[in-house]
Amino acid sequence: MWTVKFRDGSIKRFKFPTRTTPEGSAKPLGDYATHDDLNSQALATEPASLGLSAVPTIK
Amino acid sequence: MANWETVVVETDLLICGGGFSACGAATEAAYWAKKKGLKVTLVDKAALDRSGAVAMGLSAINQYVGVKDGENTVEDYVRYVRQDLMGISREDLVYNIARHVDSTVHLFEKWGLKIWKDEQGKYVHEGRWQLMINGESYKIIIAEAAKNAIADAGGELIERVFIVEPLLDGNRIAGAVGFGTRENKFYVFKAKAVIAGMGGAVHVFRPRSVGEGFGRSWYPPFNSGSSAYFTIKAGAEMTCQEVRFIPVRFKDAYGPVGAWFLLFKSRAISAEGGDYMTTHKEVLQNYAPYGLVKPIPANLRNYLGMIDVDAGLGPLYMETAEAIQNIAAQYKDDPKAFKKKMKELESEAWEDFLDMTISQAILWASQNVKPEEKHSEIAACEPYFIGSHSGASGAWVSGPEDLPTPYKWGYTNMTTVEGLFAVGDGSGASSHKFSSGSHAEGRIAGKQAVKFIVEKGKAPNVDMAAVEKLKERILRPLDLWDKHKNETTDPEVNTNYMMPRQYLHRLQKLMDEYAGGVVSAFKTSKALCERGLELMSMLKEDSEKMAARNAHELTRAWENIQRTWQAEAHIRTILFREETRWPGYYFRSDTPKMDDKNWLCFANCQWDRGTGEWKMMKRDIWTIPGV
Repeated sequence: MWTVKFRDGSIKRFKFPTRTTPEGSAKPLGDYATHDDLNSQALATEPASLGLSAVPTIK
Repeated sequence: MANWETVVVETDLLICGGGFSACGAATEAAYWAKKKGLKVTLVDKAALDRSGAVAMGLSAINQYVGVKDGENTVEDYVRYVRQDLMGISREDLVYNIARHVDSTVHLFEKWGLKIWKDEQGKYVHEGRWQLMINGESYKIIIAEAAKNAIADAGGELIERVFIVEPLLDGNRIAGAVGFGTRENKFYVFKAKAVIAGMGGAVHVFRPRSVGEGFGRSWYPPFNSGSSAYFTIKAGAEMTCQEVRFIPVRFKDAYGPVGAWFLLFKSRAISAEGGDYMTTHKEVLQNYAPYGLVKPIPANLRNYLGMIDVDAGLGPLYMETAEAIQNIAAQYKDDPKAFKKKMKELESEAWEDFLDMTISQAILWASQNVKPEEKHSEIAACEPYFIGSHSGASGAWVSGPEDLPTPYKWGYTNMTTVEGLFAVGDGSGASSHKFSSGSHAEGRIAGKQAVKFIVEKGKAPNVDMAAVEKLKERILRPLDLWDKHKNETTDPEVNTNYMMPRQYLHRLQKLMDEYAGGVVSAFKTSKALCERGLELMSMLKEDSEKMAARNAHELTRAWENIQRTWQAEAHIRTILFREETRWPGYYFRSDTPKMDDKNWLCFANCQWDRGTGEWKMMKRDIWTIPGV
């Protein structure tokens, strides 16, 4: 909870979420499918984490 | 020499830095390193949870392309960056980051970052590329994933160690040296590959903030040019060293304006009420084609505001009250809904500061600024070096293998020094990567660095006699203090040394007055740059005389030396580029026009490790065919 106190004495309070998961629980690969190809342009969780069938490229 | 223990750390991949690009590099590299039986070590000047440019949090993700939902294409992003940087961008690098950035954002969401969504479950956009988030814990979440990845791969995280110099074996990186910021330890890292992700540079120029506020800045005050210094000293070719960034922000506390301009559609005006974007519209003709297409480049928006300030029409104001009233107006016939909307907008406005720039909330409260009631002052900040935003300074790095780019000499994001990679604010000409794109770029480099080690890695050849000399030089400020501290009644004033703070004032005064800082209204010229370099050569001589009482001051001393090298690269490149292409960042009064015929090119520089000479060179612009 944030409390903002003004010079004139008025006060405002705000509350915002900080995260959606328990602290410490972040899984680096996010449960996305991974692969073993060190030579491809696809990063560990790609293309699954892109939501695409392949990493875009210039034809 | 000060009696500091030497700690030797041997690793395969060394990641220097702890911000978004370094965390991205660690997260990705750990995955590949584990498969290949390699060790990843990340070394951070601070604590990973709250280090780097996003340490305080962030209220938006500024780069999300939205390819999967057909919102934009990767090519659209390339066009956007080309436009904003007045034609000067490495389109291969921008393309590469843009095609990977969405996956980074999707990972962030899985890790626990709260991204705003609408009733249909779609991300809420602040602007075309920007997503609204609750970002108070943004850095903690991203650091957590990096930490978990490093731990899972059996790697090592070393915090509170300040990296100073690169270690070289010919034109190949062999590691780095640094020292503890809290413990009296000198660190020697031996590595087969190194990723430089130690951020940009702040306080090269004199800040507007003075007295007890000295050090307050838009970009983090602890970013001292470590990436630039490290890559320059390694002998890497550098690019866009003239392309500083000056943001216009809420005055004195540097609060963000993005939500006001993009989400709330606010106007900015001069004290006389004129909207400078309209009043000075004709000026944009001089910067065609970039000035004629929306969004108008950041530096030109700055420039139109500066015209009013130069004419004495300041202060400039963000019309917050008008913007909020305009949005709420659609509920005017329903008093209950109107009240609810006003409350919601007020909350969003305050959160914009509270989750990334708390000091701006404090300043507003202390000045009784209630954004729904009255407008608030904005101003151009002092110049910063930040390759991830609308600036472009950084190392010149190799482009991606699968693109038909002419800038390719091996591994993506590798500098011209073998095995040395640069990311985030450390890699140049790939602007507008912001937090998410920097992380994506870190991931790209993380995988590529592992590939380099697998294919070309060899045991680092480190000359320990040379390291011992470096240790003596790096710890010298402690020795100077010890030797001479009793020679004057005030230990801070001494003919044999100078304290880091005094040196910083000299550097900042020089840059402010000769290289186009705030006091010069961002104007400079050939003559001013040449005089600045003359004074800088003496400042560099005196840098040998900095003294330090402890590890804290030793950090300050070396941060200053790093800033000085960034400063020199900056002046030399402004001097080299004989035109004015980014008038809202700096204005060369002797060459006031943009000159596409001669200067639609990169201005690169390189410091020769053998001779100590600087070489300046032009590099051609390559645009992606058909884009």
